[in-house]
Amino acid sequence: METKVIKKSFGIGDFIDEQNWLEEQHSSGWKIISFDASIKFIFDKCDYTFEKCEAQNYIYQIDYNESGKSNDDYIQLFIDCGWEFVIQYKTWFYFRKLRTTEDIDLSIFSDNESRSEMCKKVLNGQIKKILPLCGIAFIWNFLSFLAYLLCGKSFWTGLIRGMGVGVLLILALSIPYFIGNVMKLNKMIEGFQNPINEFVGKK
Amino acid sequence: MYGGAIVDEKIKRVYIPMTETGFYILFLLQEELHGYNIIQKVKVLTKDEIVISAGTMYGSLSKMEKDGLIQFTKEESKRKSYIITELGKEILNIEIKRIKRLYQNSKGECE
Repeated sequence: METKVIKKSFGIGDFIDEQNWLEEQHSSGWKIISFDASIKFIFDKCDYTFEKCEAQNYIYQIDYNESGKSNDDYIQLFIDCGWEFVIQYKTWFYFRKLRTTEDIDLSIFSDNESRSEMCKKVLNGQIKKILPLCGIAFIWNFLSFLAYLLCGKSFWTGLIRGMGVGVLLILALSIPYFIGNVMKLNKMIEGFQNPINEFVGKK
Repeated sequence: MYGGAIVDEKIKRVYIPMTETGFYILFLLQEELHGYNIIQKVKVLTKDEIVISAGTMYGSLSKMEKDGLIQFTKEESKRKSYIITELGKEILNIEIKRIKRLYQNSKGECE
């Protein structure tokens, strides 16, 4: 079977764009079969592997589910509702369904409360990732400063301080990206909670 | 006014007024059902007007279980069943009273 790999990066707050892109791929005859993320920690650089298929109008939906351990009942519920389970990456689950005129259940969420609830979970997940990093950076730098005070200048205190600065640099680089994601998610949550404002804004 | 003084104020603030999805789930869980059962029953009850999607159903069940409104009973062929708890019944009764009041008021009647 013919396959192709596309490198693409979608942020945590870009899952709707990602869904649309996967739909476009399927309607031009490429269905996703696997997904490799090299550093999907804060940044998202991913390899999407597609397989040649019949060009069809599929709906793609991405869900965020933190329930962990066993996801059997979770996936079964989607299957019962006519969704095909495509792939899982950590807490992200990809589903698809052939778009037909008879089927009225075309989204995995049927009300704005649950849409905004999902975005809140994504947002919390993101904050839970960045906070420990901030904590480590702070403690590391504090300890390296203490070590420097107590032991004076040496190769080892220099190394520890250097590493502390490294962690700070990583943080500094990821913070604009982090803030961007948080703002996007916040905007989505606001849009789901006040759909009318969103509509007026678009006019 | 609402009765059921034992009900935690916080839970009340979160669940009352309830979303349509929330109401139907809690209402139908007066008998033991699994998620997809509920979706089908709601479809019938509302003549296809309300079709609860998978993600919405899963999220609502998880949240209600966490908050103690419903409890897990059994898992059969990967489908988890739930039933309403005492707390859930109290919340449901408060909500039913509220809806009754709305309905009566809408017809120009007082309680």
